[in-house]
Amino acid sequence: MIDIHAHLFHPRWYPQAFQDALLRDFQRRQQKQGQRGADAIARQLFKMLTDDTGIPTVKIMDKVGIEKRVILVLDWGIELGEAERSIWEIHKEILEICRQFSDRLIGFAGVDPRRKDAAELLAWAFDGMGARGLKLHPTGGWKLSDPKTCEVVALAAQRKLPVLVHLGKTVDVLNDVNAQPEPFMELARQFPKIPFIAGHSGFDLWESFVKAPVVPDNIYFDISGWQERIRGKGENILSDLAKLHAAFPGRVCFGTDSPFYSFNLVMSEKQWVERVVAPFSGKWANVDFLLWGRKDSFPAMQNQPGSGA
Amino acid sequence: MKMERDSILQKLKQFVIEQSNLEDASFLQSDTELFEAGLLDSLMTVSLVSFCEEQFDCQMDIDELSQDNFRTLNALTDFISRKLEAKMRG
Repeated sequence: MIDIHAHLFHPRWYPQAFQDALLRDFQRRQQKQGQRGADAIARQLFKMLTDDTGIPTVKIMDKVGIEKRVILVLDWGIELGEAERSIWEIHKEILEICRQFSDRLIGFAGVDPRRKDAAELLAWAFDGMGARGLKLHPTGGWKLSDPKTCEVVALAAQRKLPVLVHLGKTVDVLNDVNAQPEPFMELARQFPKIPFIAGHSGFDLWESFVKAPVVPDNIYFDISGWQERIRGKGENILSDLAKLHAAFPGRVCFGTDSPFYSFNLVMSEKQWVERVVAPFSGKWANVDFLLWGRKDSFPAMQNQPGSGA
Repeated sequence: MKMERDSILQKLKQFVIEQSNLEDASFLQSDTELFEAGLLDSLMTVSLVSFCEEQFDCQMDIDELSQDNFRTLNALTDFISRKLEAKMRG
């Protein structure tokens, strides 16, 4: 099983405002579940999230049966203030970790298209640092329809690399108004020869895709973050997943958004894998193709005239 | 040592009951499977680890946050007891 949506966390790679928001989000989720006493846990939370070597992540993957994991770089520097490290340094550090575990961790570059050096950064990340795709997080002050967005996506398209876009809700210092299914589908229509992955399937917006009259064939879905949608023993997730698989056969990808839901706990990661992977055995998207471009395993696009990736 | 173990167990049980907002905690036994019973998830584990480190003054490595050590209150009590014993031995 390949996890198409995960991250590595270290405080030096993320803006302080995001880390503060993460803590508030943790407290909100905890209170929602009826748990109390969220004070004095920030230190513990960030200790558990942190991995700047890749070693704990690969250990967890071994223990829960995840063969490969896509590691997405996030860039909110313009929106929230720069992290301790520059966006170039962040890419270098994370993509180097991925290179050290090249058989297990697959790095995606991530950039705010408004950066003046976005094109240079991406070209270097793709061609020099081995990034195998592009992550966009349109939760700041830019749109998927902006010309600058098309410019950075074009760089991925020139290299036949997939683009994963965060869709749906986010932390309180960011905004989901630009992270919606419609502009995402429009962007995918403009670049029909590369796969686009709907991050989190849009969380609660997933039904927008199911109900849409036409969804481009090059759109795929990841279910990362759906851990939060679980009610009771998770029957609701299995039911929703069945509908998503039925609507888009061979186009649903397994994902975790680790470490932001599991906090690097093996037991949590294992529970998520066991809960959703086996019930849909044989139905998951072939992520190897999305990443490496093997046409014979690209179920949605292989019959599309002129769409050869 | 037995008293100390009982004390650890009771503190852990009390914490789980409080955090879970259980109206009826009678089903929670020292060998209740915490994950299976829905009493422990990743959110709760962060809080529980934080509580243990503060309450019992012991540091837990990420590798130690395993299902074996957190499966039941008994397992967690044994794990903490071992940590405290190791700490006393220096």
